[in-house]
Amino acid sequence: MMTLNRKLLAAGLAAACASTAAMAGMVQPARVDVDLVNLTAGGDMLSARYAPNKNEFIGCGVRKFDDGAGGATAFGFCQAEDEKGERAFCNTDNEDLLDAIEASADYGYVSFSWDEKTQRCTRIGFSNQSFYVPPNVGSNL
Amino acid sequence: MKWLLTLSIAQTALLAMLGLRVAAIDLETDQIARDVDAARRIAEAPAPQTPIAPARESASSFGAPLLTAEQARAIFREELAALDIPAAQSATQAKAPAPAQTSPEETRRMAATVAGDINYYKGVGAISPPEMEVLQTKIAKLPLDERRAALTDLAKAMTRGEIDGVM
Repeated sequence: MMTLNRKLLAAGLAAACASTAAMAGMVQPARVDVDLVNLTAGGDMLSARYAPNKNEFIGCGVRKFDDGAGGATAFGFCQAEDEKGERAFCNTDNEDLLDAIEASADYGYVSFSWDEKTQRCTRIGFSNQSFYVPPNVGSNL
Repeated sequence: MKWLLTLSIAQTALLAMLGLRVAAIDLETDQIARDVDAARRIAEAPAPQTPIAPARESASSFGAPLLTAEQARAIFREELAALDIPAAQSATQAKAPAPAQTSPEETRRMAATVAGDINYYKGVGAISPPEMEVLQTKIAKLPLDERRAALTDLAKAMTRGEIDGVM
């Protein structure tokens, strides 16, 4: 009788956990893909971070330096590498693109394009969606 | 509002201090002018039997022309004005520092250094994050066109896998 009760309890807990996972909302991992033909790269940061290889990464950043005249010299960049080891790097000093980089958020989807000749970024996109947020952030429900 | 009040009080106090200082300088100027007048009178007087103060004796012994009180005041005003100008200039410079001027020769030298660094990392085949920070700092000091060219070279080398690393 005692053994049966324990089994029922374990089964109940397992069912509860399974239903929680099933009700966690839409998840849409996007592994990093670098397309050296069309000169685009994209992927979400979380999928890149936990990819089953040592290659994948994606992101953008801004560097600002005091120019000694009361202003700053700024440039930004985006970079990515996919699981095949294909890499993409672009840079920009376009203020709107720099603003886009600075407005990015954690865990989002990043995509960018570049000009092959100058290696300058021609497009930078960020998408902050619930389906990119990791499950361990914590629920408010 | 409190800030404005505080600033107003501070400004009033500083103006009062400035006024007192100007008044003190004016008094000193008058005193010196009187001394100069006295020295002139003594020098113009017949040879005295009494000893002359060393400072006045040395002044006349150089044969320097003696000044009237008005001339002395004018000289002091000029000197004070000359002191005021650099102070005003330094205040302006503090607000708006002069932009960094780079000569074409210096620009070429800096660009060549950055190009040399990128070639070095191509040879090594990799760049570490601290090395990247140093390189980016050097690149940032270049004028716009040279900076863009250097970033293009760097990004191309990294995309091609000639330099392993991240920005």
